[in-house]
Amino acid sequence: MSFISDLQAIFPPDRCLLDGAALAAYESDGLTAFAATPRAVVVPVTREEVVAAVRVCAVWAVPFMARGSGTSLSGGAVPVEDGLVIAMNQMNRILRLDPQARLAVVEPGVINLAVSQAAAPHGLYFAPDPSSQQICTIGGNVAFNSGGAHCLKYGMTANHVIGATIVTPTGEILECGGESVESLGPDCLGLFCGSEGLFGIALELTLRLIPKAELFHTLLAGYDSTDKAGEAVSAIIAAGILPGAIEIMDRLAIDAAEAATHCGYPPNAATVLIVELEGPIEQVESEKQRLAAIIEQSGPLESRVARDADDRALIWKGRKSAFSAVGRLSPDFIVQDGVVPRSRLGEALRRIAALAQDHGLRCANVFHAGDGNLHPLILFDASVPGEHERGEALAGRILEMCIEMGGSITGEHGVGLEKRAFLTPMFGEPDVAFMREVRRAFDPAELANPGKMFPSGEAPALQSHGLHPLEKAGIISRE
Amino acid sequence: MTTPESIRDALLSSPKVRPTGAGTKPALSQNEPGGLSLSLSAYQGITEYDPGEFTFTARAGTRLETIAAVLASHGQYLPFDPPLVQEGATLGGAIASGLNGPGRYRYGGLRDFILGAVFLTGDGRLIRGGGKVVKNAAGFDFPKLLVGSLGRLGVILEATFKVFPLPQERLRARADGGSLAGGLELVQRLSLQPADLECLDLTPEGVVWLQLAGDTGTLAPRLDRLGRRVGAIFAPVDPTTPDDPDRLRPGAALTVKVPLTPARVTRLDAALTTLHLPRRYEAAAQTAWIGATAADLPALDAQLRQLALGGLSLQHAPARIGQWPSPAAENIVRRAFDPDGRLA
Repeated sequence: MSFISDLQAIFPPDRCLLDGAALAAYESDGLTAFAATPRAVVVPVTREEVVAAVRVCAVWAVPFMARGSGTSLSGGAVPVEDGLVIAMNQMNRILRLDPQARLAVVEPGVINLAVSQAAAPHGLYFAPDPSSQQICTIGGNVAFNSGGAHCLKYGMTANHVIGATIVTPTGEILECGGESVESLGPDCLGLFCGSEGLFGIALELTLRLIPKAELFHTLLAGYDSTDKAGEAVSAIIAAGILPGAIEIMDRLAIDAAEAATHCGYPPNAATVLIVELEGPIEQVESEKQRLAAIIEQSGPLESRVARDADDRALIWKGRKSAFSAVGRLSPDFIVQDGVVPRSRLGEALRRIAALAQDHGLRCANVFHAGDGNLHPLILFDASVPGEHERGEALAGRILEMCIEMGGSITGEHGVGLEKRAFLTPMFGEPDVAFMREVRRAFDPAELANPGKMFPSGEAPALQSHGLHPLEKAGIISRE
Repeated sequence: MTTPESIRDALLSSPKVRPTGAGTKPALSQNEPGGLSLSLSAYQGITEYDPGEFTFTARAGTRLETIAAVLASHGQYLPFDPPLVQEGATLGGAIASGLNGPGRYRYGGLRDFILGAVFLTGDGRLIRGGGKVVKNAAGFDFPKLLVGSLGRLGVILEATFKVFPLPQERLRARADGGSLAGGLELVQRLSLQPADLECLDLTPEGVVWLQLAGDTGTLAPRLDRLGRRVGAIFAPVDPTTPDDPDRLRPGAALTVKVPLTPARVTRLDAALTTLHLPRRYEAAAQTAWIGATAADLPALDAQLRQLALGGLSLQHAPARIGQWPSPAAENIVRRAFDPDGRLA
């Protein structure tokens, strides 16, 4: 009897991967800075198999991590060294779509966009729309409480999940929430969303669907300064308009997007602002007059309104491709994710520019301006000695700035591996210590996705049978 | 008690504690014999409010009425439409009870607007969860966990919320579905429309009440178009008529909340008909609000159990009736939140 033979008793060979070449595909995620080799990868096709795999891990005290499409930008889906990867991609069925109740019951491996596609014939969609929505999975969205461009008005993933069946790291099955948008008792489902895999694995999720807006009005304006774009956003908010999305990109990000998608952004602008109104026809028609007046007053170099659905799609293509498009400007880059109070965006950008200069690096900026969510893209060349380190240092300084300004170290990517060192500066020791206690309440042996979210260097709970695999691997130590 | 320290000292002075607010939901603040009632109602005040950020932070004892008035003076409001505002309900009590009004239909419930919370654990540790900005994915979402916790996991001291701009205008209207089935069918058609309704309520007689919100001058044409699209005749409602839905708002007349799905309305309504209880179905039949006296509760409890539904009774004990969700997850978090069982 061994850990592996127990797995092999559950999974056929083609769904229980053990050899180096097969495992290599699972070493990393969307944040390629981190890599680790798992001991095995299993590919369950039923919830029973997921539960059985988790229970085997509990018996042998082997850490595990559930993985969807591996698009995490915080290292959240990097395996635990020598642990088990439970690859959820084949659990990708939409089990039920009930338009009357406006819900979908899905397996966690379902692709985000697939839910909206399935709901589209009923005029419904699943609101959370991370830029990776064509490939990222719902399970990953839930684990990291993913966002997107529409969070100010619609909230994040947690606001669109109403029920979950979960297997905890001890193998217990929990039901949280249900099929109603209302519930009774403490909102344990809300706690599970964004817990970064530390409380267990979702086996089934119930999602809230909402009607697709009747009319969209997408406006693109170019400015000669970021401050002017920021002031336009403040004026929109002050006017009581609640756009579906407000996005800002700076010159470097515009260049990247233009090169990649020919999206037709204003050629001479230092900054572009995208504002999208959505709602019933009469409301959008009224708001668009108010918006036009605000934009006119804000002194843009130019502005235009999307002519039709194709034009709208092109404007969004430029924005949504910005991260990957930056790859055209630089061999390597870091996507950062932080939040500042929305009204201080201009100040934040000036400070980021100064910090970038101090570090001798270029930094492109893309952000969800409606909710103060910054995405600085730090450009560097890893082949130049010291640049990667300077890039990481700059990323850290930007997070420190976000904390100092009363914001957050992550708006939507999660803490993962990348931001562990910043959780304590944001919350303080007592809060982080309490988070660990809650984690241990679910997972006394700290087997579920260990090493994520919490500051490194803190050892898991003591175990009775020798060194933890992570200790053997030198990943952790008991300090 | 006006400081976190004094509240903590009081908390730790008794092995059994029930945090309370203004007492507008007496069944929820009822204490066990010998237990200490820890009133937060003196711990009040809006500590931060920046209209440009769409956020405010207030202490738990702050009255919702105060908050709503301050927000309204800056053209903003609480989109989850909490009940019992005029009656004096506090922010902490709103979180702990997790209640929403009919306006939750448009943008979501209290859980969808809470951003941060400062609270005491059952063993007196002061913990901060969430944040003060509208978007935040760092750390565990303790603020959401406290929603609906009935004061049994922690003592909420302060919370930060997202708010939205007030609509320029609102329009109420009703359509008669002829029967519960007819009304339900109309509600379901309406709920699939891209109509951005603020409220969508149903009475047991099959009358559908809806509310539109938006820019001045846009609502009448919207209502007209919506009626044509779903084949219903909507009559705008004078908000001062006796039929005004405010008369049957949750909290006062309707005292029991039952989470629901549209498919379960028919059976529940049949049961409530036999019990002769007033009720209203809100948020496209995702919640039933039922009027029940203390004498009605045992029979209602039995009926809900038969239907595998649970209810929260605000006015009369016991607060928890019918079939509640499994406490398994709550029991797990309690190990950390309330290791001594002081708040259980």
